Amino acid sequence: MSDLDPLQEFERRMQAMAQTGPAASAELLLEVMDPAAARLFRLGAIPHQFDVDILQVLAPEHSRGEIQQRCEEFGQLSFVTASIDGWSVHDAVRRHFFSQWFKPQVGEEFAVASARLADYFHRQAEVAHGELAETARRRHMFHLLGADQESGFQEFESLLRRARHNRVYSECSQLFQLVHEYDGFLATRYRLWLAYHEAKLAADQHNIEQAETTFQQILKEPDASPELRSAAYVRLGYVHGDRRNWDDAIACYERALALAEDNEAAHHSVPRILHDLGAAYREKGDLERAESLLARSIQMAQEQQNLSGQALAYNSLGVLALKRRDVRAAIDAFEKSLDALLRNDELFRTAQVYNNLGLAYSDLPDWARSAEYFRKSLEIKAKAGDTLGQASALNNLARVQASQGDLKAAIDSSTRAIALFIDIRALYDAALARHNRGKLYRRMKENERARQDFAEAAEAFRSLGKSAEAAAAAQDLQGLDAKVGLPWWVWAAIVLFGLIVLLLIIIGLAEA
Amino acid sequence: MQTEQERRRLLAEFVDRTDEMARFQRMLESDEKHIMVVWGGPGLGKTSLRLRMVHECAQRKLRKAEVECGGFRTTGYLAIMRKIRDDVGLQYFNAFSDYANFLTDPNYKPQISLNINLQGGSMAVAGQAQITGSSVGDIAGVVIKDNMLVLPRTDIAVPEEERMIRLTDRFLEGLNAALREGPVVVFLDGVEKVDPDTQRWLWEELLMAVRDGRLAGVKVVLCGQVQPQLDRDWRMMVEEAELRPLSLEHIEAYLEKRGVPEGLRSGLAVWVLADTKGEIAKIAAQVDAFLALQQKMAQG
Repeated sequence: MSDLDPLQEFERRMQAMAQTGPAASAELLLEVMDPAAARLFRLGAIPHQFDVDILQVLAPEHSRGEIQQRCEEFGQLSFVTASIDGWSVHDAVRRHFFSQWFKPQVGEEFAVASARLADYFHRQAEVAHGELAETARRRHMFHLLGADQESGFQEFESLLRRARHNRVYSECSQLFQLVHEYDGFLATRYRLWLAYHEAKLAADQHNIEQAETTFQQILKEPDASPELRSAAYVRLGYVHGDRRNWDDAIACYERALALAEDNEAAHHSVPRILHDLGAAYREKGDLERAESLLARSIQMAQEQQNLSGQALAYNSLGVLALKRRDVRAAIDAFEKSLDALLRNDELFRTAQVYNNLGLAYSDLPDWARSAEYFRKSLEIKAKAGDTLGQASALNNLARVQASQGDLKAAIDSSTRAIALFIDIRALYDAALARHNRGKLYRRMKENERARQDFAEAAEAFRSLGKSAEAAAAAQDLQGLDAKVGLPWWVWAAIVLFGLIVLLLIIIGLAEA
Repeated sequence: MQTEQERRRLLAEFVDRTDEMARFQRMLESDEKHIMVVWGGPGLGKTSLRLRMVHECAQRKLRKAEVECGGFRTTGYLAIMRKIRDDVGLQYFNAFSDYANFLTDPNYKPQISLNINLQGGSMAVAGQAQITGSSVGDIAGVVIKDNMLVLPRTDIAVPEEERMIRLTDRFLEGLNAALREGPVVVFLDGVEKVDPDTQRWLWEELLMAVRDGRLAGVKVVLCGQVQPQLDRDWRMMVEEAELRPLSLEHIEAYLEKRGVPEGLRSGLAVWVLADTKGEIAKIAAQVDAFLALQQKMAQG
């Protein structure tokens, strides 16, 4: 037994450990612990949770019984919590021990341990199902990063692409948090690509200022590759485009294009950049320039056999032709876009093109064809399960039906649109559709129904804080109430009187 | 979710937080406020306090749901609803589980006539439903199992906004059905770890329903590191509790519970307070280290 005062000895050791930071007491604990147990604990801090199986994977030289006993001992520590996933070390303490593995002197051991864990979770992901499989995939990616940054980052990008495509942003956010645990260890190129992906997500979530700042920071980085710089310029162009700041957007796309054309790794993105540049010129009003760029985009997409790119550029070309009031050219372009989408099995994207065709035919005007295309758009949106899209298509259809003079059909479409808008809580759109239906009822002289729609639309706009729209609906309501017509026999007398006067004039002229 | 042994240990070692516990008890007993936010920096004892609150619910025989955000598990709005459903009882949430399955599994045949405007623009998927004519949640005796898939199926393209609205509506309906059999307390820990969209969902959908009285009988406790920015309307409805570091007196009480010999307690408490600034997690770790060192010294 030692004669030392335990308190003094504790204070002395804690002071000696002070340079290790906030986890000094945990370091002291490991120093006091059996060295084999301490090593096992340090290994256990690599994954977020550990259990007997995981520690066995990390330290196959230990027997299972020995590991079981160690786990129970670790479970007694105040910074170790038992959970359904096993045991986990308190965030701050784990962060400390995890970062210790980034030191070069333990780099090899860390890579081996990470590779073992990556294999373990890869196997789990293959046999698991649902959320458990997703969790195992994330854990596989996390440890692959520790074993081999290139493969790990590729896996991260693949998971991120999938989550972003499905708009599961919580998943994206979680993936970022995991990769950030390697901050300080991650190679510069991956750190910069990580920042790029985060800025893209920020833009997706309408956090435009944050996205813009990050893209600009990336462009200032001397280590950013031409491929990354090109991608960042494109995204910055989107930010300016969002603000309808077309000159700045064009400047960004032009820089992106120059970088992509000069760089093999970014060459695949040239058709898309040409498209974005063309669309920006179109919005700016320089239609000649826009047309030439979109034509180049189509040509390159054809050379690359990129049907998706062709569809996008043809659709933009159609929009451009509509701006020029060249409806035939617009229809031709939209049909080519449609053809490319159908050949590429992109059924859901055709809904937008069918909608554009409906708009183009209504410009001719060819109401029957216009209605046919709006119906096709509606059909695709119904197949997709897109309620808002169906409601918008029905709204367009109602306008065409009203122009055709089929007010009853227009009211029916409008009624279905209103129900769908309400169903999906798009209350502003529902109020707009209701106001328009009121106008249809007014044309049909169904004043009671028109009155009800105008009143309800005005009330809905008011409750949504849309005072201008509320005032317009209220004005229609007042106009309806103010219309007090003369009795029919007065009108008949006026007409009869007019005819007599006309007859007298004719007779007078004939006699003269 | 602690093991029973750990639960007992943590409860036995629990010190202070009497004010926070009193406010929690008041919330359970009155209809004045239904939401409590406990916030404080890392290591200030949020988990221990939550555990104490959960224990209080158990003593009062109140049903509870515990959601821990962050880590490897999916933490979006769908995951939060699934966890609450699993803790409260699957049987109330058939319509929610059915729709979650329908959205994620192309081979799934909906069990309930779903109001989802699919395939021809009608208001129900009668063509795909096995049981038609039933209204949401009324299949007596049948519990629909969630396949727990996460990503949306690719053969349809229901927009994310629509998925969220419909899932939430069905979830709230299920929770309301559960509430008919008594109150439920929902604990959400680590709320600062969820992404901005899920934060928005949490406040604008779930908590708004609690605030507006659409979920009568639900009490929610949010634990996080960051104080939420609440406007006046929200502040009126939310009980806020900021966790403060432990005082010397409470550290001494904690040392006693941990078995530190009486003669060493006050000296160690002064050292620990100076070094940890009263952060409970750091205090606990230091006590672990001290006890291990003492034991080793005793063994020579």
